[in-house]
Amino acid sequence: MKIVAKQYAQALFSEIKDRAEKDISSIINNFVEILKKDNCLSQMEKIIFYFNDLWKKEYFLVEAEINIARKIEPELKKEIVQYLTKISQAKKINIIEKENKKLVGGFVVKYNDKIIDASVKNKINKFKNSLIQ
Amino acid sequence: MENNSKDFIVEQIRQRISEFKSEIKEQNFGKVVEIGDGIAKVSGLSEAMMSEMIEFKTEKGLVYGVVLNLEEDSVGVVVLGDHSGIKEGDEAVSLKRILEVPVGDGIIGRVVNPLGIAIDGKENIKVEKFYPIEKIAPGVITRESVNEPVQTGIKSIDAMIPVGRGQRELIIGDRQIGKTAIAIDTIINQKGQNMKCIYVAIGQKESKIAGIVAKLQEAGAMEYTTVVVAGASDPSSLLYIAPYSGCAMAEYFLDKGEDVLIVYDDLSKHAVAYREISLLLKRPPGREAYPGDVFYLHSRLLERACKLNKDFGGGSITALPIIETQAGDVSAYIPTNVISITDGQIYLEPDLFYQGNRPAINAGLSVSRVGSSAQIKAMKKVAGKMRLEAAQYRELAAFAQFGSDLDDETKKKLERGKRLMEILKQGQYEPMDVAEQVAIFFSLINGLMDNVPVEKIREFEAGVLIYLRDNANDIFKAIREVKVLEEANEEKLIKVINDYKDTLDYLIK
Repeated sequence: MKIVAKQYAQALFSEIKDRAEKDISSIINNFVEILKKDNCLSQMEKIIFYFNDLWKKEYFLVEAEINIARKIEPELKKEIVQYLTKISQAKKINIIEKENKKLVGGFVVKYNDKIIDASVKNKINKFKNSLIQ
Repeated sequence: MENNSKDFIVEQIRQRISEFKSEIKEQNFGKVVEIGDGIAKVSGLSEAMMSEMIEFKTEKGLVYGVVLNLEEDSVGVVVLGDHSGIKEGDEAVSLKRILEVPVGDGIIGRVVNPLGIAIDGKENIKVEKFYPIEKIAPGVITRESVNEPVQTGIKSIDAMIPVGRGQRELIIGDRQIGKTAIAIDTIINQKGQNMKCIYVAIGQKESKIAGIVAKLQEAGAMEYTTVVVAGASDPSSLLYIAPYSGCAMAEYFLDKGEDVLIVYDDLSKHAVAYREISLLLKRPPGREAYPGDVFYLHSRLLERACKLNKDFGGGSITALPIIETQAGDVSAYIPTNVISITDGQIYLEPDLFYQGNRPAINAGLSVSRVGSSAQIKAMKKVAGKMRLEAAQYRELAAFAQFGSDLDDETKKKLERGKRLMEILKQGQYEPMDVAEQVAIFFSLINGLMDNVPVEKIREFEAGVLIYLRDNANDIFKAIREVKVLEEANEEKLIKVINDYKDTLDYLIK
C-alpha cells in the first residue's frame, strides 16, 4: 500500500517526540533517506504541513494572525491574546501582525480555521447590503 | 414639496442607520487548495455541513458555492456562478446556512435563475421568505389520494390518460416531437383553474426559453407562471440545483394551501449535469457513467409532488417531468428510473408524429396510474367508451391491413376509429376547455359523426363548437359547474348537434 503524506508526518512526529536534540538530526537524515528510497521527496511540502499541525496540537500552540488598519495598541493585543487563550485553550499563542490599510478601521483575527471579522470595511459592506434589500 | 421630500429621504436614511446593527461573530474559514471546472477543494472548514453555502472572497467580488463532499481534511465545493475569479489560496467562509432560495408571491410572472435572482430585466424581486432547496417530502399522514383533475386541455390526455392534482406524470419521447409543447399547452390551459405554474428549464437553449416566455405572455399565462431558467451556458452546478429550487418555490404555494403545477424540462439534462459534477468530485461512476445515487437524485425530487389533506392545507404539487430518449430507447438508465418513480407516462412516438397525428401520443404505451379518479363525472361518462373504441380500432386497423372483405360490424368500427383518431389531433397552443371536449366525445361515441367524411371531421368539430357556444351554452355551463352531463342535457345536445348537421352539405348520404 502506498504511504500518504499524512502517515509520513505521523511517523516522523512520533519518532521525534520526546527525543533529545542530538538524536533529532540523525532521525531526520534517516527519514529523508527513506523518502528518497520511496521516491516521495516531492511530498515534502505536504509532510511539513501535516507535521506542523501535529506539533501544534500536541503542544497546544495556536498561531494567530491579526490584520489591523493602524499600528496595534499593546492594550488591544493583550486583550485579544487573553480572549484567544480562553476560547482555544492554548498554552501559547504566536501572534503575527499585519497592517492592512484597506480595512479602514478595526481588525480581523484568524486562528486555526476560525475568522473573526471586526473590521470597519466588513461593517460598511453589511450595511450596504442591508440598504440594497 | 421638494424640501419636504428631501427631509423625508434624510429622515429615512437616518432611521435605517440607527436601526442597523452589526454583530461580530466567529466564522469558520478555509483556503482554496484546488480549483477547476467549477469544483473547488477547500482546506480548513472543519465545521462545514452538507449542502451548506460557502462564500468565496475573490478579487472580482463575492462568489457562492455549495458543499457537496466532506473529506478528512478538505471539503469539495461546487461553485454557483462564475468560477473564473477564484484563485488558489483564496479565502472561503462558511455561512452556516443550508442553500436557500427566495420565495413568495413576488416571483409570479417572473423569469428567475435557480438562485431566485430575476433575469428578465425588471425590478428586483421583493424577498418575503427563504426556503431550503432540499427538503424531505411530505409524509404519509399529511397526504391524501389524488381526487381532482388537472385539465391539460389536450383531448387525448384528458380523455385517456387523465392527470390529477398531486400526480407525477412523465412526458417521454425523442427530441423534436412535442414534449415541451404538451407542457406549455397545459400551462396555458390553467388560466382560471386556480393553479400556479412553475416551468423549470434545465439546460435549454436561451432562444427556446425566450420563445416560450413570449408565448406564455401572449396567452396571458405569465399572470400565474414563474419560469426558472438554468440555460445551456450556465455551469452544471446551476443546472443541478434548478429543479430543487423550482420545487422550493412551489412549496411556498403548497404551504398556503394552493395548487401548483411544476414542469421539469428536462430531467435527462439534469442527470447529465449531475453526472458531470459527480465525476469531477471523483465519485465512482456506475452504469452509463452515472453515479450510484442518480435514482435518489430524481426520486427525492419527484416525491415532493403531493396532494395534502384538508388538515394540512389541502394544497397540491403536480409534477410533469420530461425525459428525452435517444432514438426511442425507453430502456436506457434514466428513462427506466423515472418511469418507475412517476405515476404514469405520456409516451410520444416518432411514427405517429410523422403520420400527422399531433400530439403524437401513443395511447397504448401511455398510462396514468391514478386513472379515472382524476376525471370529472361528465368526462368519465364519455371517456370510458372512447378508450374502448380506441383500443378496438388499434387492434382492427392492424388486422384489416391484410384482409379486404370485412363484415359490416368491423367496417363500422374502423370508420368510427378513423374519426376518433381525427378528433384527437390538435394544434399547438390550442388547449380545449373540458366542457367542449365532453361535447365532442359525446357526439363521436353516439354516432353523430359517423356520416361526416373523415377529411371533414376537423372542420365539423370547429363548426359544431361555435354552433354549440351560441345555442347550447347552458349545457357547457352546467358541465363546468356541477361537472355532470345530465340525461336531459344529453338529449338536448343530440338535438342541437343534429340541428347543426342540417345546415351542412358535405354529409355522407
